[in-house]
Amino acid sequence: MSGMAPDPQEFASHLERLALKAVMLAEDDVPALGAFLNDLDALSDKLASAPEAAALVRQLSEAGNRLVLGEIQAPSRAVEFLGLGITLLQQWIQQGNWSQSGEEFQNYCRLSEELGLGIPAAVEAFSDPERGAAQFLDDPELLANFLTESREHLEGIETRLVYLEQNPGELSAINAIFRPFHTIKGVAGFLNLQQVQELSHEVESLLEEVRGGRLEVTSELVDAVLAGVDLLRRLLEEVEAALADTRELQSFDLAPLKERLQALRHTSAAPPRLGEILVDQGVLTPEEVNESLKDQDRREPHQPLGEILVGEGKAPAQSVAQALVQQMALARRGGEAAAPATIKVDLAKVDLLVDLMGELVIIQSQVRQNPAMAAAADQKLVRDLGQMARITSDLQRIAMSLRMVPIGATFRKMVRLVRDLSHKTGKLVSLHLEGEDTEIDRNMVETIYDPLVHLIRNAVDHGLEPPEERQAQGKAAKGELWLRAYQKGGSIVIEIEDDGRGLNREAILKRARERSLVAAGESLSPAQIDNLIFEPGFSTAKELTEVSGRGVGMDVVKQTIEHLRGKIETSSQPGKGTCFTLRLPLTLAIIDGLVIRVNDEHYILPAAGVRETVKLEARDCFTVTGRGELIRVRDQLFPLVRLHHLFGAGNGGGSPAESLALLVEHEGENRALLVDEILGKQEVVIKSLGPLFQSASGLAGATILGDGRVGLILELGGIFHLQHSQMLPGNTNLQEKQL
Amino acid sequence: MAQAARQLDQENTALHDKEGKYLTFTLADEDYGLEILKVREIIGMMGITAIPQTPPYIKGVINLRGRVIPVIDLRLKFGLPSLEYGERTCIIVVDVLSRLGPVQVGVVVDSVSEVLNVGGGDITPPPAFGVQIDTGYILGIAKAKGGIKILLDIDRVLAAEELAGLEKSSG
Repeated sequence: MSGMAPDPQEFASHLERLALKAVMLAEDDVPALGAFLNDLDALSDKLASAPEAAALVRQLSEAGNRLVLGEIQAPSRAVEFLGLGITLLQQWIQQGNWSQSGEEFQNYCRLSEELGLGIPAAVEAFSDPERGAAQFLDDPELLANFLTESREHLEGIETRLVYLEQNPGELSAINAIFRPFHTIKGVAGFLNLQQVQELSHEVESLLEEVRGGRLEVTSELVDAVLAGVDLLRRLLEEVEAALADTRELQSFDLAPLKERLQALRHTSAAPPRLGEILVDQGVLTPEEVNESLKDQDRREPHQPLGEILVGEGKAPAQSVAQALVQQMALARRGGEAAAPATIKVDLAKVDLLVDLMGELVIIQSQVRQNPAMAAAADQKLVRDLGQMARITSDLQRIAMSLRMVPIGATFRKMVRLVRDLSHKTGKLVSLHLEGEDTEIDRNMVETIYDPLVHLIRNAVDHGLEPPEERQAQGKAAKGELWLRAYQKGGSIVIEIEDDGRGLNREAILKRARERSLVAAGESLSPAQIDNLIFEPGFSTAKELTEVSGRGVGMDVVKQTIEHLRGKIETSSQPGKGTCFTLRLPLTLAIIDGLVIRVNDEHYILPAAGVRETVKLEARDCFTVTGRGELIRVRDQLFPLVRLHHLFGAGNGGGSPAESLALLVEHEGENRALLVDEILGKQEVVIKSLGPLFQSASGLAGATILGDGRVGLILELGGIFHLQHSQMLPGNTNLQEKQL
Repeated sequence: MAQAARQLDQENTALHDKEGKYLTFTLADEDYGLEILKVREIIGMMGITAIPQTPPYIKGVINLRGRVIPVIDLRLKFGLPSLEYGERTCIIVVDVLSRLGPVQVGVVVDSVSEVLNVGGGDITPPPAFGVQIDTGYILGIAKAKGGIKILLDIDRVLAAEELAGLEKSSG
């Protein structure tokens, strides 16, 4: 770094004063900023012989100017930037150089990018050109974080965009869209992801116009920004793919979208609000503002109103600056949603924590049940153990709750879907989200996404009528669609309700007859007819549309929900609408189970399927040829299932008389399970049996029992199926196995 | 002639690759070896929960510090007469690569002997006959002090088992 300031001593003391001012700077203290800028100007006069320092000073003064004019979105960052700049200058004067790899310089460059100042040519020349390119692959972790965060940002942006479209005037909504784009741009620049940066910059510039009130929110604009979001997603995917294969980034053709965005940007210019503020403050009259505005339109290139006003001497610079600061403060307020502080944790760690918590609970109960412990007469020991038990159970509850996430994120993805669908089908839809805070097991969130998409598609495509049809029926042209979530008892309930035409029972019945799902003469209740839509291969759409599928939908939806140990029901009123109700367990990790004994084996039966326990008597038991054993409870007959036989757990179990049977229900089918003993009811943590037994029928998984042994969790559907296949003549599947 | 020599050479190289440390154990009076890198831990016999609808050699599942892992009886797997579990009966927990990803499996053996260093030169290809078990499960035969050890290809043993398990349970 060649070239020294004329008088280092004087220069240093000058810098000292500046540094002090920089420390005291407040983003909205315009007079102090002014004084700081004056000092900077004085400094730059002395730096003719040191281009790199002069470039830095120029940049600082540019940042200061923009800060005064209120053109910077993150004023506090700008103040930080000014401070860093002065620190670098101090390094320079002391060492004749500033450290390129030092933290200050790195931060300075990053902030400079973020503030949209770019890196000054002179400074850039010193930074290693290779560095940026290498950084891309050098720091995969940073990049991975960026990808995750950007995707989250994009998701948020989508939702807010649709909201903005409906509430075009809301400044906070625009800010909430603008800010994440800005962040993406900033970090992409830092990571040298040029295309990402370029595109987000383009979108940001468009939004800037909206933010400044110079452009109105139109459907067209929202479409363009959404297209931007989609393209950004693809760019991010490409980055991810490139990262995975450690190859070069492929570039995308951004030009068409950029043109579209730029074209939009030049469409209109609504009056800026700065004038209004100044009029409100009595600094200017409306006439004066209008005059300057006209003047602004004439000027080329475009100049901010503030500058014109100051330039023409209509308003003192200080008033303008204050008005700008006020404008910014207004913009910032309301934009901030109160979000609780969060950290990101690897899911595997959470799962491990949950596992270990379960272990802790088990080992604790083993300690407590130890005879030596029972014999202990020490009061304090007993008390302490009780206290420990409470803490452990609290800990376990918290560990479990770590896996829970609000359903809101999934719901908000539907907002975009509904918007696109409503455009595609020409139907007007207003979507209402309720209960977004309802928490749901993280593993479940991903699984319910597809079913929800399907149900919503159906609601918009088949349920809601086109506007004309609705009006003809005396309904509002805009269809209503509700997406609700709430917790009820031990379940999470999700409802998808529309106020459309309701299910067409005649069509359903007709289709069901065609497909022989219903016998010709059979009469069904309305609810039974409605539930036919869940049968495999059923679809009533007269024509296949692009929107909804090919009739492979509802049965898959049902299967998916049942796989999560949930239920789906539908209720419909012709002409008034349809409601789908999904009932899901609170968590996939724990179930409420009955511990039963069959010979020497202990099993856990999910309590949800058990309706009652009956003590059998000889006169209630029958054997029917070809249909196996039946028992009678209050004049109803139930097929009897002997777990002893099915699971080959020792022999017979003897006569059903005098033994215990559990009446169980699964998918509307009722059976009686013969058991030897019910040992109790408890909440158990479900563990997978592992890939080896993935398709073991009749088993939902395993759990660790109080004595440390593994207990198997039964699955009724599988048991019924096993029983069924065993009863079929000629099918000696089981016997073969036992040989 | 040359081709035969080359083939022999290749076989030798393949066998050389198998040299290393093996955990040896006994099963029906024969000595077997398991690559030590596959062995996770050795535990004493503990309560095994039987899984219904599975072949007899699948003894069931155990609780290994909160994880549920399957246990295979190697005697039954190899069609050897079963033996009542006693003091010396052990479960060797091994890491195997299954078609569905890496899994831990416990194998029940009569007793564990020692960790043996087997040189490549001491390993010969499995004989076509003369051993009690399917030669497909054997990596090779190692000559060591006090007799020969059958080196098991545990991935194979358990992969075949996995198929059997899946077929059985899907029926």
